[in-house]
Amino acid sequence: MISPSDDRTFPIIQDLLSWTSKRQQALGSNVANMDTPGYRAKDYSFESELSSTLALTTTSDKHISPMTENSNARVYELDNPEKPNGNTVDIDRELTEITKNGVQYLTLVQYLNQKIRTLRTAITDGGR
Amino acid sequence: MNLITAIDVNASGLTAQRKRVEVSSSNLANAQTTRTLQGGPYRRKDVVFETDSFDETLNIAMDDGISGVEVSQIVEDPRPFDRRYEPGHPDADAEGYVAYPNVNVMEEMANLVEGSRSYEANLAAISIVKTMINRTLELGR
Repeated sequence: MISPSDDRTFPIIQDLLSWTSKRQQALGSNVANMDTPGYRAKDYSFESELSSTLALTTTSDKHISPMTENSNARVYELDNPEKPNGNTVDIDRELTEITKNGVQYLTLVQYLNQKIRTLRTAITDGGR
Repeated sequence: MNLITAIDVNASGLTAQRKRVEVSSSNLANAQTTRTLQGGPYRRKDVVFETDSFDETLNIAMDDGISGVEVSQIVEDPRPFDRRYEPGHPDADAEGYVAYPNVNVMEEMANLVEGSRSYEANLAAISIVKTMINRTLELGR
């Protein structure tokens, strides 16, 4: 028996989408400040966030709580070599990460689409 | 919305880099200008980039770790003027020297290239975010 309200996929994907877009902001901020003297490149530790979400889901079936958006603690500074003006942005790294992060986001959306399509098939009795 | 803010952040980069290129162009255009409204030769100008963690579109302070960039001020280059011996020039001083602007053309060219590359990087980031938003809008279709 499939019940959409029991489905854990939606809250998890929702959190991941939220985190990916959050990270896109941080990466974008690094690109915007690539020439700002003294600016330290920042990032969100997305991978560790991801694993803790998954860890939450395995403790008990009933104990799923969507992650709260308490982001500040998870920002960290990259330890890139410093340029003479004190700036630590590595533009190649940032553009690569932005692309990767974007693809990650699109993958999640695609996954969600597939999920919705499956549910729709069930709702409409096999598409009839 | 998170992704809109991401666009705003990079848009601030576009604005700042454009300003920088404008100032650099003005330096190049006036590389030989010996008369200005303030009197004396043109003095080279430079932009100062500063992080800006305030989102003007949404009128809120942005989250920690997320900041745009702005040109906080345009400063004048204090380096001395270039003195050349040209006794026939109307702006020559008593010894026959003319003070030319302290603009180094090579330096400005490098600055222009760097500015336009930074502009492109911000543009690339915006276009990725735009794809993300568009795909989200098509969700469930």
